[in-house]
Amino acid sequence: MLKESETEKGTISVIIFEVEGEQFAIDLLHAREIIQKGQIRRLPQTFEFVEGIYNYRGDIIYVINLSKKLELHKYMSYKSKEDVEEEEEQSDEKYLVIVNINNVNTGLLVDRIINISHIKSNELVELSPIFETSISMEFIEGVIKFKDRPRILLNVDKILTEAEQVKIQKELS
Amino acid sequence: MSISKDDLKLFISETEDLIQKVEDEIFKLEDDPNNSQPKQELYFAFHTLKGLTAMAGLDKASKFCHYFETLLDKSKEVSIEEEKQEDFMKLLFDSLDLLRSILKRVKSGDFTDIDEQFLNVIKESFEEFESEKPVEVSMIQPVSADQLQKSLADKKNLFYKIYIRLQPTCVFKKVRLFIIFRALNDVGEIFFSEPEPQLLEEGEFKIDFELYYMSQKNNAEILKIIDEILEIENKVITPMTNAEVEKFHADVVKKWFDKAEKPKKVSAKPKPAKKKPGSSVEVGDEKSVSRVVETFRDDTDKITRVKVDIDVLEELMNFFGELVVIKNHINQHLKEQGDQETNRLFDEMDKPFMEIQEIIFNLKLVRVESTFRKYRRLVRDVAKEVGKKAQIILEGTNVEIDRKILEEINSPLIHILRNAIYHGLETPQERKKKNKDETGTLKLTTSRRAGLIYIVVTDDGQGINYEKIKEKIVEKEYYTAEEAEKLDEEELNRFMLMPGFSTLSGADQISGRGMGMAIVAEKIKELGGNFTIHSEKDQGTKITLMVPFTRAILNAQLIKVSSDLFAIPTENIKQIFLFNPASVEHIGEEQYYKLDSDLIPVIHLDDHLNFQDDGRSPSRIAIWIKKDEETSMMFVADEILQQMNVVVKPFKFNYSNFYDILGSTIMSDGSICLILDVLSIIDTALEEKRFSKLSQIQQ
Amino acid sequence: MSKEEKKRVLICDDAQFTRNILKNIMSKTGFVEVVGEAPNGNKGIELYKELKPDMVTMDLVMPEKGGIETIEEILKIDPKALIVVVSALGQEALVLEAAKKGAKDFIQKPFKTDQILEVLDRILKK
Repeated sequence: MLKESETEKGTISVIIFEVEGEQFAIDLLHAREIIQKGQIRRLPQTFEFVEGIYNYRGDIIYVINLSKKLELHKYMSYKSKEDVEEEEEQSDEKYLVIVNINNVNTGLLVDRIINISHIKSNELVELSPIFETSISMEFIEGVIKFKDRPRILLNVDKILTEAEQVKIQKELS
Repeated sequence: MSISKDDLKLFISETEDLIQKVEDEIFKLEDDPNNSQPKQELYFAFHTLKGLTAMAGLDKASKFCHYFETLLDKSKEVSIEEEKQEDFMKLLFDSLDLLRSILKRVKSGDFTDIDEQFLNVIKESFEEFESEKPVEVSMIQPVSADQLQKSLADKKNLFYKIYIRLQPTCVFKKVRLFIIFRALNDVGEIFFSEPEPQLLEEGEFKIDFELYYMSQKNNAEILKIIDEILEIENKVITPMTNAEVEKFHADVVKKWFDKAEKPKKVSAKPKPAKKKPGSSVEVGDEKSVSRVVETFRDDTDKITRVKVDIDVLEELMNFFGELVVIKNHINQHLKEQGDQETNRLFDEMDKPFMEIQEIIFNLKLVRVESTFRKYRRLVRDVAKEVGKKAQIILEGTNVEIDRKILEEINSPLIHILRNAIYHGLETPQERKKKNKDETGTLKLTTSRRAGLIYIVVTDDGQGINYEKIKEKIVEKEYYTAEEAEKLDEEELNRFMLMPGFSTLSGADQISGRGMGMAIVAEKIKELGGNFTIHSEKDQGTKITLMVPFTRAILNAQLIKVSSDLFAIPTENIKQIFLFNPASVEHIGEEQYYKLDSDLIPVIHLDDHLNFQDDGRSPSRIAIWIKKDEETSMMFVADEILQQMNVVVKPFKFNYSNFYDILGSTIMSDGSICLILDVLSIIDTALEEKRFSKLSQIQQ
Repeated sequence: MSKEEKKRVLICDDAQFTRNILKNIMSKTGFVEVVGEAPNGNKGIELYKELKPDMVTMDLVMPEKGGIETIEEILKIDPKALIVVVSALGQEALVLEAAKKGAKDFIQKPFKTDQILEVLDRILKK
């Protein structure tokens, strides 16, 4: 289990992970733990991005499929048959990053954990509108440099918006 | 003083119990004003509350309790005049409200004390009762000149002037004096004081005084004695020479003797206050204390009950649940390995397991009475507020129910009761016109049948105004006027339960503040319950709630739908078959399963759950679920697994629209299994009118 | 005073809340150990005989056996018993009665931490 990093002044610790071949980062402070994906149970009639539910230390938590949530799959280029097969083989080796969103533990399904990195806050830059990204601006907190390449720092709190809950309630009434 | 979380919990639970006690006793007193027993109990409860609130730093609340304690103490002796009885009761009820509001605040972490002004009002209304009992202290015995000479002659005697200043916070000055006097008189004799003895003993001093003292102890020894006494801010001990003592006696003590004849007499008697038979201070108190003692002695000779935090019970339940899961797992393992003796021994564990389960269940159960009796007060107050007269009859209050569920149904019930008084009952004038008793009667009947608690609320009011509902339906353009006319009671009720649908035109000051009937309905359903409404014009309304009496461990049938695991409560299953596609008959859009001469509607669970993608297994199974005598359906799943006891965990529907889930449970491999609420699925299917021809076909 | 010789206190009070607070304050002093808690007089007397504490704190109104009677009985067993009354507001007559029966001293609820420390300091730590 990863302990919350002691943030020295001016340093942010981030987890860098990969989803659908693209690398993202989230603030380590939001993450509670990274675990190997276990048995995720499907949930009837739910959002497409909800992968299912998972027993996290006795708590039932929702698992978000980041690829679907960030709509990455739409941008994926053509996959060969081999690619698909390989992906399926790997699917059991995926990871869950347990994050705390609005005091609720939620699992983010990611393909691969790349690294944990400490960056200086001045290395975090706000995203310029010109910057071309594959994902919606609202999920982006900023851009950091990792190994000389820019990575998108995701805004964890925005990944599950209240709007989604409101939407559900609307659908109900 | 900072209070720890645990202490706070304790404070809340003790205060809660006491407040409940106060309420119970107030009702007993109201029923029988001449009975001194409730007063005694109330006295005791307020006393303890006084201490508790004081400890929590709620000084004014503590004072408030003190006033009540005093009042009740007095009222035990003196019966209250009949015309004042009502005021007295009102005062008591008001006190209850205040205590509750304090407790509520404390629960939310707010330690604001009660309003000073309010305290003054209460105090004023008590003023007539509020004369402090006299407290008498007499321990200074001025010495006569003769005696003094004798003492002076004894060279061992030393004389002192002792100045003492009490702490300004000292409240029981007289007791403080008593303790100081006693300590000094133990090793010497106080022979005079400034202010003079009588005044000092009566507490006629501000904060400091001087004692004239003789003893064989030296200065340091006396200092040490005084040092052990609390609430003394400062003390100065100055030795007096014999000459000084003589001069002081001549100047002050002698004059005092000459001046007052009476005090002499007093001084002749060593300890008058204690021996005086008429001054009933101590005697009276002793009596009341021993009476309190007696009343408690009856039922506390043996400790037959212990208090357990409900959270601890929940924990116990959860751990036991885990144990059950593990046991199931071992069981499965053993059956596969097939050692008969081990299997037999293991099976023997079933009985104690069942019994432990039963006991834990029962531990979690409380009588509905604990919550329902509060409704008497509620009904009384709400009725008063709207100028109506109402009473409530409670029946079946000894029915037991899971405490958690009882908590959950409390607010829906309160809403229903308020509704009944506000909308159901007529004003006393209207009732008179209708030849009804001016006082409306609500009835709350509780019973337990087949794992469900039935709570029936009836009123003898005007009934639901269905005409108004119809008007509203037309107004909101759900149906035309002709169509609305044809709607039956059940359908109209359904409209009434729709969010935002209300027959009320004006502002609803009582019900509107709480939750609407729609939320009541939702809440009950959330609990896995159900409810029905039946109403007759001018006869009244009857609302029946059905809630499970507990939700914890369930015997479940595990099944697979597509590739996913689900559980179904076995109690709902009538029979399980291999699914024979040839038995399916298609009628319109729907499928029916032919079983003997019956046609039973079919629900394909994969369709229903939106899980079709994985393809169906070639050998499917059909599970016959029976809701009641008339309604049953055939659920089709892909695979049937074992039956087992599962621990039901509540399930939050944050991201799912699928509400037909009873709960969830954790499997022995750590994965989650959702428990399907098959009865609810049947209801949903019926509501959607998917099986509109159901009734005709089954008949 | 050596650490091994902690002063031993018995708390007599029917409200667990009060007992907890007293215990909490006392245990933090380092030289006092709460050796027993009694919710009523009878239990208090029983524990007194068993534990022979250095000091007893006594609530006055308790079920089963009140403070006054308890003080009397404890002093019968041990005339040197140090009993400090912890009384509620407005019980002056009762507290006086307790003092007359032989209670060493008294404090009132609500007490502050300092007051309890003062009691321990003045009465126990000789």
